[in-house]
Amino acid sequence: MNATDRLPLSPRDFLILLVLADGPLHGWGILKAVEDRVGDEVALDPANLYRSIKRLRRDGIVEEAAASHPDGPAEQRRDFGLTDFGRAVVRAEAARLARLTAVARAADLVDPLDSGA
Amino acid sequence: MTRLAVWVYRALLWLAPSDFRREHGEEAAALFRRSLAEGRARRVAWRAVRVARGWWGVVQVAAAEWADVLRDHRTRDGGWGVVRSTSSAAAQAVRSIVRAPAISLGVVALLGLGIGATTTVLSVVDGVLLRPLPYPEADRLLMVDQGAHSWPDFLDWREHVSVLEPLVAGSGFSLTLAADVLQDIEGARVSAGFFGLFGATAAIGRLPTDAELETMAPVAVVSHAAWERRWGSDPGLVGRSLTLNGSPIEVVGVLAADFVQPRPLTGSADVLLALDESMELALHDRSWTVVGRLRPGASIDQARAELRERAEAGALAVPEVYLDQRGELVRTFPPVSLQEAIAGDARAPLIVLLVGASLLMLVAVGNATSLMLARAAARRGELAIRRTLGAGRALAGQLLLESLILSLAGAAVGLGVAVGGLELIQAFDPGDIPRVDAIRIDVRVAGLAALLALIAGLGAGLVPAIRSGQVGPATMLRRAAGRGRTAGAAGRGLVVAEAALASLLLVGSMTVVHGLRDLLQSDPGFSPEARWTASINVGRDASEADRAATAERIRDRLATLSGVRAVGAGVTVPFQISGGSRCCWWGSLTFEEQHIPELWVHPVTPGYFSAVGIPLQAGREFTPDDPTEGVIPVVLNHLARAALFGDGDAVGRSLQFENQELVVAGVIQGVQHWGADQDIEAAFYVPYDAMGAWASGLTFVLHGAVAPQRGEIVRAVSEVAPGAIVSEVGTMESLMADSLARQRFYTMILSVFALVALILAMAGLGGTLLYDARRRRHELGVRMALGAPAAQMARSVLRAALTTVALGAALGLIAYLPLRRFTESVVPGVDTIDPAALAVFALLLTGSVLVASWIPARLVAATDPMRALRGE
Repeated sequence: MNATDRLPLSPRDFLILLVLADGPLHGWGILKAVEDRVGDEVALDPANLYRSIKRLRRDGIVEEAAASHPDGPAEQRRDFGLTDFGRAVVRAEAARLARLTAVARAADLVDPLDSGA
Repeated sequence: MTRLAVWVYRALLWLAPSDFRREHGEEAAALFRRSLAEGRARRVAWRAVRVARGWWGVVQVAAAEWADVLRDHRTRDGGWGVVRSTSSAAAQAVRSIVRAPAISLGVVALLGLGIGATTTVLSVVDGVLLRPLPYPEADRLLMVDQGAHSWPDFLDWREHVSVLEPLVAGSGFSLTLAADVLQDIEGARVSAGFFGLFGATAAIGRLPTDAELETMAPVAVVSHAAWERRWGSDPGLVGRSLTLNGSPIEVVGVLAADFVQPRPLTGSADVLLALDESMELALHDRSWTVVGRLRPGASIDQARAELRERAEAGALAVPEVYLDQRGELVRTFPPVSLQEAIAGDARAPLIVLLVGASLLMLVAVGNATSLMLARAAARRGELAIRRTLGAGRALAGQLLLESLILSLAGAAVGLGVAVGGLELIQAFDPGDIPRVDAIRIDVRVAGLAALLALIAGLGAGLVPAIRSGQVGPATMLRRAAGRGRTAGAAGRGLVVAEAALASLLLVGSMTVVHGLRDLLQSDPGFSPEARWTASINVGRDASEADRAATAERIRDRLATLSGVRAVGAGVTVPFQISGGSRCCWWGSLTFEEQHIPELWVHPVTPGYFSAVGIPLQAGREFTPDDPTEGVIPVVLNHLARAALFGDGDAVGRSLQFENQELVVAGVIQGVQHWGADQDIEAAFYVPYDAMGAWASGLTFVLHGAVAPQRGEIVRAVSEVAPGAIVSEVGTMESLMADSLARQRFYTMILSVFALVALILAMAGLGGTLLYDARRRRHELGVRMALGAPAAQMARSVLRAALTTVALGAALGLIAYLPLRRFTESVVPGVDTIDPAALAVFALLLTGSVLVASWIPARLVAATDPMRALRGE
């Protein structure tokens, strides 16, 4: 399967993959990391988080990684990380978004102070 | 609340297919709990959003996962095999719920509202009336009733009443705490055996021992709440010495956080301690509450008999206290269960609220049912086709399953509403719902909510299910094509029922509102306008003579404040004590052969009657020159005067009060001293300096043109009396309003219920009319094509709406008649339907009907006959 076949990613999936790009995390870690980056902008609740993980695993984008807290509480017992294919997908999505942002910028729709770029 | 939220979350997870639940359910629930636990310090609103988002997430995921399952099956076996399997029925149900989000959300919200209101009130009822008190062997705790008792009474019973073991006494007293500044704090004195009887434990340190309590040792224990609030949870408090009423008292411990103080004995005291020698006078006040535990095997009748014996013994020793003028025993000390004593007056109004909440619930369920009916009607075509294809019984099953899922979601929403509702009730507590802080939504109540939801859901789902089963496929197909004639009878019947229930609630709550307004406007016997109050302690460890002198100095100084026309003070002033309580002092008066055993005694200073605005009927009020020894002047209220002298003159007559000679100086018109909802009672007034200075707390009343500032009063008092403590400063009018806080609180809740019920009923009406208008489009088109004017057709819609609602309202009013006496428990004196309230009710209802039928009527009037006939 080609990485671009999986595009576009939903904002939720993209955020999860973004925080996993720094290395494997458990469910609680993902939730915290997403909240740290975007606050409440993208609503991420536990059920939807695990539905995303389930589908991303089915598609070979995410895999179960070595557990960091095998004896911890349930929300920390399993870690998830990106597969090589997953890394390609998130990279392709980032590139796609960058291209779109460039178009928006050319149309003078992005406030340069606000973009954080 | 976190536990409950997680519990619901886990329950909702069962909606999801088993593979998701097995793979990720445990993790998701754990994550949900963790995210709530991390946000514990956040605001309630934030947590509520988090909970709602979490719950909604599960429902979304469950629907999406089922859709996946269905798609996978279909691609695998190429078709409809799966539709016949059980799991697919659930999938089908979830899909059809998600496909009509507006109606589904409406049903969930309506059920949630009804279940939420009922669950909230049920939790309160459960916490206040049903759940046993949190004390060991609570069912055998008896309180000795008939007012409060003196310490010698208690000692006598402790010695002679054998079936109550142990017997303990307690009483709340304000204390002066000397810290950086002098502060008034709530204290309670308790007898030996108190902590054991109520199963108290210490969070840190220890509790005073029975030996210490018995020997009046200077030790105290601090309540957990006061320890947190006043001493910032400082563990160093234990072992420290506090200066209370001028004497050093050692704090030996802090009470456990979960210890609920028995309010009749200790109020909500900050500090609990033993008696001390300085209390000699207070011992004879009838301010002590006595509680004992019934011995195993003994009955309440035995306790009653033994206490009556004590009263008879008392009658032999001091007949004037125990006997009325006919020689009959007036004090018998009947024991009552502590549970009942604590629930007390809250029982009847809570039951009214419960009935109100149940009515609201019925309206909501009725409304949910009409929504489901409308939905079933809209899906007639689909259902008919599936029936023709042989779905048959499975179809009814699916409809029921749908309503079951919706009602579970409604239960979840209802629990959320209940959590919020309970926080509101606790925030607005008028101060006399017993045990309000201890009210929780526990598993039993949550279970009951789920059961209510189930019943509601089955009710709402049953009608469409039965109808889909009754009618043959051919008829259904014909109707789907828009031609058969379905009578909207079920929908119409629901609207009538809803209007009846809403009317019942409305009339009830309007009667209560009206009664409350009457109470607020009733004449208390004095004029509360332009009168200000200041509670001032004139020296708790001072001598009586010093207190009297201090009070006099403060009175003189306050009289010089600008704009003040009159100043006076009393140990209590009208409306200061309310909610059915009484306080402080009562005794008997004797005039020749007349003996009146129970009269309220109010110690007051000169100037009191003009400051409060109580007119004199005869004689004069007290002056600073009145004697403080020998024959003391007294002022009677008109009831005491009538009881003693009939129609004869009172002023100048001599009276006997226990061992004191009195002479009547004046007579006043009686006032409602104990709150606007209480009757005027026989009472007399004695001079504070001669007979009242055993009490150090006085409430000064200032009458004048300009409101005095608190700072101004505090400065003036500190100039002439540096040791005096000014606590509350307020107005006579606010005291009067506060005395009705409880009635206002219940009235408010009942009114909210009634308004919500009205809105729901009108929404139901609007929905039914709209649905009717759609359904009759073809017929309307024909009639318009034949020349019926549009305005006339719109009028016919309005007429139908008004007659439907009028029928419901009439039924509601008829149902109200036998129930009306219950409203009297909310606000006394309202057992009739007020004509003005009825007129407002009729106006409100008509207005609501017009609003609700506006859009349907417009729709009908705007029907284009050509398009309607073409079936567009």
